[in-house]
Amino acid sequence: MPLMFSVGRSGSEGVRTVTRLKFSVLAVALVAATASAVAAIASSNRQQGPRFATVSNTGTVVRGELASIDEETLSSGGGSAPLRILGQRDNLVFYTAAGRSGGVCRALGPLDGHIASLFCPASGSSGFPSDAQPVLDMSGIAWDPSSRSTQVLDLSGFAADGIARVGVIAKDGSLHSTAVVSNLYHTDLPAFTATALVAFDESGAEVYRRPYSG
Amino acid sequence: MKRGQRWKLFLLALLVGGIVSVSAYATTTIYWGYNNLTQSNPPLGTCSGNGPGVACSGFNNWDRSQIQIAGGTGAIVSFGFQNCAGCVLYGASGKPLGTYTLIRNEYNSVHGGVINPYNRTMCGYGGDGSASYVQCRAIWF
Repeated sequence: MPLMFSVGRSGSEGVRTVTRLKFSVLAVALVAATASAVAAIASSNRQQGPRFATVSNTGTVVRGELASIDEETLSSGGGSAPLRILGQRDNLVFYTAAGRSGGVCRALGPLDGHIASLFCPASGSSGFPSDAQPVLDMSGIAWDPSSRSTQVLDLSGFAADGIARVGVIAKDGSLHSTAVVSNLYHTDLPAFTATALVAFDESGAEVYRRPYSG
Repeated sequence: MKRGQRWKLFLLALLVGGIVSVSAYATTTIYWGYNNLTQSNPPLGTCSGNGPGVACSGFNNWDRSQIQIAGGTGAIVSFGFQNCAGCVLYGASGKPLGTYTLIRNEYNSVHGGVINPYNRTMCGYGGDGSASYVQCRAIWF
């Protein structure tokens, strides 16, 4: 509302104009303050919702008949055909399949198309993906049962949307990490004793940590 | 009773007891659980050459190592294959509830032949929680 001054009007009309002006300015200020407060609340609500509850990469169906060995792997492991291929990282192929108890089974395998490692979730479990479990790690390990120390042979697995990097912290405190691409991560690692698995969001903040020690 | 008949009766007993199951392709042996896997359970001496908190099958040409995590307080479980008593376990670790399966031949394709054809399967307490309620299985395909 533009400022208005009644120059040359009578005294009472001038007072009413100034009064209307004051109310107008006050009204605009109130509207602006309210809008700002609403925006702040909405932003806060968004931040309180789950951040790592989705996996956008759903892959494509693997065509052709499944080999009997993979059929048996899926069947005995709690999954059912068909396999869906999500992508390949170096010499590793990533898959999903429907879980017989519900949910999504996830698998890894070499380039020959067979399954090397399979995980099928329990019925009704709220594991991956979630804020509490933004990473499903399926890394190969060498585990010493005497000392319960772990060497991660290759860092491999699935990550929720919003996870940008996954890494392993060594006993000397150094971090060995790799980028997450299309919800998948994989890299070979040098030999060292691992102390924790960590995950970082797109801003570089650590959002998940799981120790390896026993 | 003839020797062959004794073996058939023994296998029948294992099948009835649920310790062994046979599908069209594979034979599954439950070697531990359902039980709480902790730092001290199973006790020392359960798996030769290893300390407490570790369970294992006998040595055989096992093709798969499988573990079902059915509950507990979120402890990590390390599971896989061991080439000799007291040797390192090659496998993976699990925490979320569900069933994990490793296939020896394909695992070797990825990791360079680290697991021998003649091996034993193993599951062990891996920390980060006091217990994991599990069943550990060895599978011969």
